[in-house]
Amino acid sequence: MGAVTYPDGKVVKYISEHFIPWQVNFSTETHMLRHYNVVWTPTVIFADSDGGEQYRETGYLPPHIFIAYLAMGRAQVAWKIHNYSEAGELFDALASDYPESSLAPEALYFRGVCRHKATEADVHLFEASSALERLYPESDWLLRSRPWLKELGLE
Amino acid sequence: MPKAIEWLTEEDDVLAQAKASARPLLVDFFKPG
Repeated sequence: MGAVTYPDGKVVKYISEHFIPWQVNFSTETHMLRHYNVVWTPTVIFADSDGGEQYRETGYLPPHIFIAYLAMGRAQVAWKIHNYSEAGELFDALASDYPESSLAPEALYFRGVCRHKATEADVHLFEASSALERLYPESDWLLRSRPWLKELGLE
Repeated sequence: MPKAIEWLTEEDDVLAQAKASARPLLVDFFKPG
């Protein structure tokens, strides 16, 4: 990560604009390994501003793929701290900006969840499931969304 | 925009900046060398 991914201009810009970047030495900072239960490197943890873990990514990724994980981490933090409107926008941007990413179906799923949580409108769940069926019919995230349709009386 | 990521390494600095900016943390565990 340090040799290729972190020096990439787009990665530098995204991290600098949206995160507080904290680097922890796996070999010496054992209290941090215990605190976050980290057993492998590279591990990247996305945490809220109190340090509470909300999402993690393990293993090397090249810059063009890691960027989508940065967007996912940011959106997951917003969703887990109940900032549903912001999270819905971030998941929507991820799905729109990185449609070829393996994370795009997950982003559509949580876009629906967050918009639903923000507005209590069921239509957002229907829209998310419909988008998954149209764009990612083989995705597990479509299967996860199917019970929504049944609950809404649409299946 | 910085040319490289300006990593923090001290927990107190990290939490102070996070509180001031309300931005989430990105915590990178790395093995030197």
